[in-house]
Amino acid sequence: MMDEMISRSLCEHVEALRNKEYSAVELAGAFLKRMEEAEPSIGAYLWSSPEMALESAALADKRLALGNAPLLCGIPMSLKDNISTKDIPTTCASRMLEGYIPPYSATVWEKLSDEGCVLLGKTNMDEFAMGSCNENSAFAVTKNPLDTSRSPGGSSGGSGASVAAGEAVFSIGSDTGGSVRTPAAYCGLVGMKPTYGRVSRYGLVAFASSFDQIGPITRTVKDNATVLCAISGADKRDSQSRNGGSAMPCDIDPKKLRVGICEEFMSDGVSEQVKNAHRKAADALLGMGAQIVQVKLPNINRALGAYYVISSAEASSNLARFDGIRYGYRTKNASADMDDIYKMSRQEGFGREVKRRIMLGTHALSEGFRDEYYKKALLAKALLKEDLEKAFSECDLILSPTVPSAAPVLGSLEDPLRAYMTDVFSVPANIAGIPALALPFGTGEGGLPLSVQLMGRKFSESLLYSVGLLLEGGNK
Amino acid sequence: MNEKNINIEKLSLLAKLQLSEDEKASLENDLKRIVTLADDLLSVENQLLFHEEDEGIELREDTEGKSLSRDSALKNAPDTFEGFIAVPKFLN
Repeated sequence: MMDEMISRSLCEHVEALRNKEYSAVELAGAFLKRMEEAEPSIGAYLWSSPEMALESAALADKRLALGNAPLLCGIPMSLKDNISTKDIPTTCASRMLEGYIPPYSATVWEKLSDEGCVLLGKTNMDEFAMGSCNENSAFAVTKNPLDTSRSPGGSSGGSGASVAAGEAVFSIGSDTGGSVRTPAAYCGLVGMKPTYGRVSRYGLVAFASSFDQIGPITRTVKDNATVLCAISGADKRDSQSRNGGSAMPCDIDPKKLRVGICEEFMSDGVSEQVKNAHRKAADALLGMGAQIVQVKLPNINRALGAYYVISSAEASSNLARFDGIRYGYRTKNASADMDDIYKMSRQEGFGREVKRRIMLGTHALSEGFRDEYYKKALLAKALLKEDLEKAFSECDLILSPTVPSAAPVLGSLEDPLRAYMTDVFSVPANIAGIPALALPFGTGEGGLPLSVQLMGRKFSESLLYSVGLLLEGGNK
Repeated sequence: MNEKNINIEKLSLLAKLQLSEDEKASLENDLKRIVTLADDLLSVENQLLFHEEDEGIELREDTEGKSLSRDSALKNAPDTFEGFIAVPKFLN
């Protein structure tokens, strides 16, 4: 019964709890037991409290008994460890924040907590969300549950692994350049990076503020839409957030759909099995009556460079707050010199990748380079937005691979340049602020999952989910 | 970016990072390679691009609201003294 319980989708649990097939306490218990079994080999979580989870589940049962509980009441979930949770540790997988306990909660956690979700724990990630393989955590390496010699993806790797391993019904991650979609792709899951502004960033530890977005990782498309609806909405505490209409999928006539394909995306670095999966997804939609449209994105090859210049520049500014003074790690090795405290605390508190990105961002913003690189990156961003607007006048959404290959072997992407190249398909959506949905589609060598990505106009999540449902049906 | 112009000493001062000599060498090498990602940006022509956002930013009312108490705000400070954040003495 327990294994079967764990393998159900969120929507199935919602129904089962209301039909009293099992209680929220029993459901939480099943996941906690699964965590005990799986964690030694997977390492998805940095923090968990079974007592707290069972207490929340008991409260959820009381609300469910009253008959008017919110939709997600009693559903066990995990949260990426860069999302602030009041009185619960939030480390961003960094020594800089080891022991840090936020005095407030992120809006997204407030919403899910108010819904009655049961928090199983905070998940491992690349330090300060910088990475694509979850190998930059200061504390642990998370393994891909589908093949523990491989990466679960990053930076929301713990989130992806927790859902794929049956250690959570759903997880909430964050996506700055692909960090929800890459783990979804490598772990065979559904991951959404919403339109910039759909989900409040209040309480999300900032990496690159003009790209960061919080998004769900789930087993199914409908689950993903359900969670996104629960966490969406304008928030006075995030001035960029706004209401974007319902994200729930609806019935669409595929014969009226125009699906954009961009050949400029398909470089030599993309594996043949990924190209095949992409082709099969396009063929599946064509078979349903959709029109496939070739679109041009002339500036797409500038996206990766623009992303790494802008995101590193913003990160170098955002991470300046970690100076050893008000919170976080303070060195014990400094002399009585404030500059020494800043430099030594940051040197000892930050990991290698974080330092690399801070240095890159500092370089991009420094005298003599800012005009040439940062400003040009902003221009490239604007040009890419124009390209996408033009493309969306010719198609309803764009189909692309999510990542250039199936999950890489752990340790195989130590070269930072090679690691950055894995973001080639994901960064355009962050740059343009548009929604992007990663869907499992097909399997490659060794049964590893492959993934395709749907990108749409701002606030077109409902369409992306609707087409996602079509592809999900076609993938069975 | 012109790799010859990566001044790792200056960058580490600006970034407030006390890097070891090994780290400086290694990061300099990394940055020289990573900056090649930005080579395609060099050909972007300087131009005026007006990109209207869909909606303006909505600012909240300038009224007093709930904030953190001093105790909550100090909870994570490495060292405190009578309601202040304590740091080593650096002024004589």
